[in-house]
Amino acid sequence: MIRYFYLFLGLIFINSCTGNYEKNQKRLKEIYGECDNPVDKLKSNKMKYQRCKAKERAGGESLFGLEGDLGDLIRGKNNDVVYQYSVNPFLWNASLEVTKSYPLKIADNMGGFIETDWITNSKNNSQRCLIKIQVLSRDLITTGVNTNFLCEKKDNNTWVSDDVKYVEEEKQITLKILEIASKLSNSPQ
Amino acid sequence: MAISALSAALFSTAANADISVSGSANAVYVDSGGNSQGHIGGGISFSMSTTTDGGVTISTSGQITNDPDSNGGGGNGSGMTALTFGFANGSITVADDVAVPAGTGLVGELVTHADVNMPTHTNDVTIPVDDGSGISGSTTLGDMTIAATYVYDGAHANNIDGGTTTGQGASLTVPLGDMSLVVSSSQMDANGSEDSSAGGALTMTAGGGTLSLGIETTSGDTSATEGEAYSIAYSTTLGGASVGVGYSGFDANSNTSSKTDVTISQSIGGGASIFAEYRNLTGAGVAAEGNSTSESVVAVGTSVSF
Repeated sequence: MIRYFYLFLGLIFINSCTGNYEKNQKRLKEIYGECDNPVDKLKSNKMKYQRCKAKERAGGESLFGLEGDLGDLIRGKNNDVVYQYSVNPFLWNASLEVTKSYPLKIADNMGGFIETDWITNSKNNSQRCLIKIQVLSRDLITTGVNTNFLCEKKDNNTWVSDDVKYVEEEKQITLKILEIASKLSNSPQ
Repeated sequence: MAISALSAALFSTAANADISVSGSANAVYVDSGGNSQGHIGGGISFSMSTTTDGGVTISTSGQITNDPDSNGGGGNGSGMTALTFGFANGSITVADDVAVPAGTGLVGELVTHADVNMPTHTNDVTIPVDDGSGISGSTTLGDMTIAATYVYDGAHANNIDGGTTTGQGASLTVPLGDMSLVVSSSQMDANGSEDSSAGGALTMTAGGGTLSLGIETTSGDTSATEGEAYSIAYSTTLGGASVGVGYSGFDANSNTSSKTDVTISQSIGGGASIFAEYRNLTGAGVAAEGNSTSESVVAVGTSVSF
């Protein structure tokens, strides 16, 4: 029996050279959620499954994000009420610090969103990149910031997406923000 | 290039490997017919990966846990028992704890804490052993995803050619328009006792939520769990809360039983959530309740993800 299995694995290996595995996995996670993808079989490891579910549960709309709606229900609709939203100041200031060398297109401290203008390099005029940073949390937590790094390349004098995922760059930017935020939070006021 | 300029400006590290740390903790009150206990614990997970020059991603993970799902308090380390090799169109895992795809059709089982201190479910439609040391792989063919697992030692002792519990299974996930169908088949031989399972589940969007329908069958030498189960689950959001309802009906060993699960959770920001779970297990295939067990269990608690 095992030789048939190894034969099957060999076929998988050959088939692995091309294809759209990641795309299919992404689609399955959209259908089943992060924790219940049948290909990942996370349920077979209860600890891992519970950790995943804890993360999934925390990812929904916050109870306190509904404050306006609940207030409207209790007090009646009042259009004069202004709801103040803010993000963690250490994460916000660290994000500004990381992007200070680049021209900023958007820096919305109420929404916690920063977007740089296109960044180009004089040695390579055929590529340009930008950074988008979203501070997600009011608390200084490691999951409180999300970074996107996008690049375009010049194709027949037209800028088009290079369709490359800059996972490493995004991770490094996020880690730098967290590092600076941590230092800021520990420094005397 | 802009990227290298950015990297040089911001970072000085040259490591190729990626190590990420995440964690979770929970405090849960669980009541089983008046017999209550707390599940207070958590875990730290380390995920490590690197990419070879040829583009193959190799990853593994380890955990330090402290009984997040029971009333005990003993910590332990686990993991580091699997290596996954990720390719452009699939992955292969060699591990001490791979599982064959059994239980695919039991989509109605939703709770993670409200499953303790219940009477024994004697006609559960499952195979007695479904994991062990082995190898698994998955790949895609068009829009389909195929996964296969071979367990060569159900004792988790990595005895490649001498394991007394062995088995194999395969699953196929197929998109059907807006729906997704997964079917699986598994066979295990535990010291000469042979059991097999086959299952399928259809998942679709319905009424603003997700509806799953499943069927699971088992056959073989373990007569107590030989039979079939039908399962259904529906999950949706109400306001900001996530709500799930699941039902599974079992007909095995000439007995019937049913399991009903209800879950509700609400994010409270900062990676934290509050949740409640309920499970009811009843029928002729369920042992009699004892002093410390109940057919209905409720769990209420909070979990934090770091």
